[in-house]
Amino acid sequence: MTMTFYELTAHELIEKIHANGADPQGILSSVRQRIHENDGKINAYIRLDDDAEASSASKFPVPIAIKDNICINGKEVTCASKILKGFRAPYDATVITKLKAAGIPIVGQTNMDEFAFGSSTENSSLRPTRNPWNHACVPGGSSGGSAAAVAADEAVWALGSDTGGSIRQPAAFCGVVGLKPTYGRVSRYGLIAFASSLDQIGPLTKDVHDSALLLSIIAGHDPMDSTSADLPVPDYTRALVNDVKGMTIGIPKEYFAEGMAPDVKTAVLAAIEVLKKRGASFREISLPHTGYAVSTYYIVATAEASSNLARFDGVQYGLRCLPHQIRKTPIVDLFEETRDQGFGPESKRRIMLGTYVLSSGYYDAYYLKGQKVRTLIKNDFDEAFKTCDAIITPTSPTTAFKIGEKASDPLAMYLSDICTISANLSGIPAISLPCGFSKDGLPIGLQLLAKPFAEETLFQIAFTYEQNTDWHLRKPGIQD
Amino acid sequence: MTNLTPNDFETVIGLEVHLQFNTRSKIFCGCENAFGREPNSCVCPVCLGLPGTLPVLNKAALDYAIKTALALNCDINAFIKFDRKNYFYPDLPKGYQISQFDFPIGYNGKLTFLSDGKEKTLRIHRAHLEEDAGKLIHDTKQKCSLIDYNRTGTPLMEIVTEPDLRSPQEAYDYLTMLKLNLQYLDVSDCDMEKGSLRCDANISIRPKGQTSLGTKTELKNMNSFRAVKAALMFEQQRQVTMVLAGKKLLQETRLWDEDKQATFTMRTKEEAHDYRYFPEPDLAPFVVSNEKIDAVRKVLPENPYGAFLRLQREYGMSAYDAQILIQDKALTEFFEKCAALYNETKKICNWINTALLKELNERKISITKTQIDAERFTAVIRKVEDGAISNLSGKEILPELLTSSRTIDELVSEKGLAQVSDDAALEALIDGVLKQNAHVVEQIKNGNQGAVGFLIGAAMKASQGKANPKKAGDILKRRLNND
Amino acid sequence: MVTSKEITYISCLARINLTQTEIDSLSENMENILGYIAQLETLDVNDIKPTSHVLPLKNVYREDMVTSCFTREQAMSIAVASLNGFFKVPQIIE
Ligand SMILES: [Mg+2]
Ligand SMILES: [Zn+2]
Repeated sequence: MTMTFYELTAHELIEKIHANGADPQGILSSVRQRIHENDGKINAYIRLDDDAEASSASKFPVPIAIKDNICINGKEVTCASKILKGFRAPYDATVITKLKAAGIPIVGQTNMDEFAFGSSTENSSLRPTRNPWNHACVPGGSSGGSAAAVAADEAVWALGSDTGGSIRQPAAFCGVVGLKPTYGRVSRYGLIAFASSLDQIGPLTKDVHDSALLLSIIAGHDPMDSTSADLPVPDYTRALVNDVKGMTIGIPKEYFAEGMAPDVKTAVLAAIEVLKKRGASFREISLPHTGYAVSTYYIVATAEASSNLARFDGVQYGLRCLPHQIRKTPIVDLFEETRDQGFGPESKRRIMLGTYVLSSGYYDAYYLKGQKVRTLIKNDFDEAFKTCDAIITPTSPTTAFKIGEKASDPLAMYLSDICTISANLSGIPAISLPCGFSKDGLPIGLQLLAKPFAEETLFQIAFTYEQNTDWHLRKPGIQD
Repeated sequence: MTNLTPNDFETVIGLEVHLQFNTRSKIFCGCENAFGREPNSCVCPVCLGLPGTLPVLNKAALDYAIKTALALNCDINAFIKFDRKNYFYPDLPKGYQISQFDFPIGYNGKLTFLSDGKEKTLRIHRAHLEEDAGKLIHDTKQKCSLIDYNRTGTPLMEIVTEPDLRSPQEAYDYLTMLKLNLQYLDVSDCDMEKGSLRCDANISIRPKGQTSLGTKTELKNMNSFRAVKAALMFEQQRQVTMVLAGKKLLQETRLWDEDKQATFTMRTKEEAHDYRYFPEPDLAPFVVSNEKIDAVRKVLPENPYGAFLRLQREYGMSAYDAQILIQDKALTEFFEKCAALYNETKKICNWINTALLKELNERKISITKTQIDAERFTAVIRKVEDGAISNLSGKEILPELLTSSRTIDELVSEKGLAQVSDDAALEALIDGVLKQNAHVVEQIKNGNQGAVGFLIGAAMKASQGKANPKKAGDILKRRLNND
Repeated sequence: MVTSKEITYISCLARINLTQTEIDSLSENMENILGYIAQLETLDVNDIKPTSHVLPLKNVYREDMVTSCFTREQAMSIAVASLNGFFKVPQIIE
């Protein structure tokens, strides 16, 4: 059976173009057709760009979807929030500049948890995105729209952002490949900040090859981002070698302790066996401060978020609301009413928590303490990478949960990020790739972590695993 | 306390100066750092604080800050970081100001200045770098406020003193010396009217002898050094009157009203300041090496107070003259160039502080913007001293030196200012004067010595001012005595 | 215990107008989350340096050069309210 364009990966499509078996405009139409037929059920997109064009003159004319927190010149960008309704970014994010230079057409902007606050994409002010494998389930989050779009073949590849697992967890839930690069590997300029010291933009793709390809395009030093690393960008596709002989992979015992769903545990242990057969050796390691990661994360991330979101105050752009009756002074009323109406409940919760931990008298007990524990968590990894090339864990302790299941329990939702948060706190790269399915047919994600700027190690192990399994080839069936 | 009199109180003042640096571009983006442009015409995504944008520090802003902190004799932090100061205000586009909290660039500084003829040293608490906010214009007719973000992101240095000042005059004198120091560094226009230098003041009073501080008020909205002094004087008086009347002072912010020449309570904000400072995650920290500090220190210009002392010591100049000279670094440098060419330093100083300054002030021009040079300037003074030209002629040539590069000899001959010192010519001149004023000669012979001056004047007039007055006088006196 | 007075103070700092229902539910949420975070109290971190930046970057700056900026029209095109080339807000009373 021949596959339609939208079902293929980016590297397959590029090969076809080069072999004159496909024209870029045809690929774009195919993806658009797929979105048209399918997105009414999935809600992966917030808005589509009907003007985007694909040219055969460009290097990678394969359509991409962009999370709605990355600025595209002239396009509305809202972070799925009411407060940015109508705001058109007057400039391109650095990653967008790079995509445009590579000739990659942007088909649309994808749904997300408001300001990337969440793990389910239920916190979008518009509507929840559905998991393509089971429409009653969440796609994960916060890059749920991007993950669902790739899983449902509504985009060949996509960009997301990852602050505490927001690329990897939805990738796991939707059965696609998600990479959080090393902090500083990809420019944050133009990414609407959630937590500046944790945020990274990264690819969501159908396989490891595309992930390496897309990272090669978007990575690199940016003089507009003081926190971007001034290091050369390798051609990551050269790391796609089907061999892990001589590699040592650590199994952190803290991740395999309690709370892991049996299906997930079985799948991850089976994945370890696959890699063992290909020559990798495994050793048990300890990351002793893992249990403190969620607490640390929710201090550091909310504190930074409370400050980053202060600019949304109704003065310059986006939403502006005034109360019917004057409460304090006209300008304070404008701030308070705009922010009351513009932010959803989870945004308010995080802004409040972040403001609280920074407020007078609490700084030392919370924020400073959080930053110190962050050092301990980072040290754990430094220590582990003295004896390991990589670390293997599940991406999430469970598969996708039901829409609404955790919506009323913020703490339970926060704890679902337990496997992914530490990579952001320590700045290291991590990848999630499909490693099986639960009994009820939901994808399971395998997470690999490596030392800073060792993305090539991740690609090599992930590629080897992928070459020896076929989970990544499975596609969700059409559901009603 | 009721038995106290106003004289029993001591005033305690601390000042907080915000200084805009005159770098080419803004502190965190490449927008031009300009004043007086069309509203919102020098802005970009970064300084507008648009979502997704990030700051990148202008190296020159950091260099200027280090230079300024060193000039204020501060210790420099080897580790510098920026912090976010969080508060909401429409002129602050990001909802926070990038500032410095616990690791300011400079701390523990001091500045020496003269107040009431006495030397005074004020301690500088800290000096830190931050970004300026936008400008608000209140439109009462349209019942709205308008925002211009051009000023947003101008590099700003905040210089905070210890509460070491004891009178409004001292505050004024400190500000004058601070401004002079900053002008020597050439880091800022220091123009209060343009807002490139702004000053807030803290003032409290306490009974003399008391060591703890009284309740302070913070004064804002002063647009000149004179206004700072006036506001402090008003506030000093108000506080003394309140305390003597047995009333309790409130810790508050008061605004200076220039028209009413009085301070008024600012509408109090409904909550305390809780700025939630935390390290700016978008900027990496900065490490200032000792080599860097030494390099900057090496090229630091002499500070004006040091120049003031040295001019007196090296040239025997009066404090009065030195004080005038140091008001302009270029003028001091000009003086020293002249002094190297001609050892009559007192005369050079007089010429600069009177004749030259008058010409410069009339033209409202800096000496560096004129054609004058030390060689020609000292040549003029020399000619006057040698009697080659008259004092008056010297002053007539001076303006020409500002606008042309012609030689003194050219100017003297062109204007016909060469002084007549030739004996035969002067004898002939005096002959004529004596003949024409025979009646005056008669009066002198009858004992009216005062009339001699009249004859000298007549001789000068007859020579159109070119006669050497000393020689002409000598000849006249000899002839009167002999005849 | 996070009192509703504290919530009100924090909401004032964060400039969010909250209804009593929101205050009550936030008070409960924050109580839970802060209760969980309290686990950090068991860690002794006295001798640990805080991490603000995961990368060991320092002295990142740009040269003092002017680059092109927005035209006034571009700047004002994002404005939610404007007048004569200014951003406009309700009158601020000082
Ligand atoms: Mg300040
Ligand atoms: Zn700018």
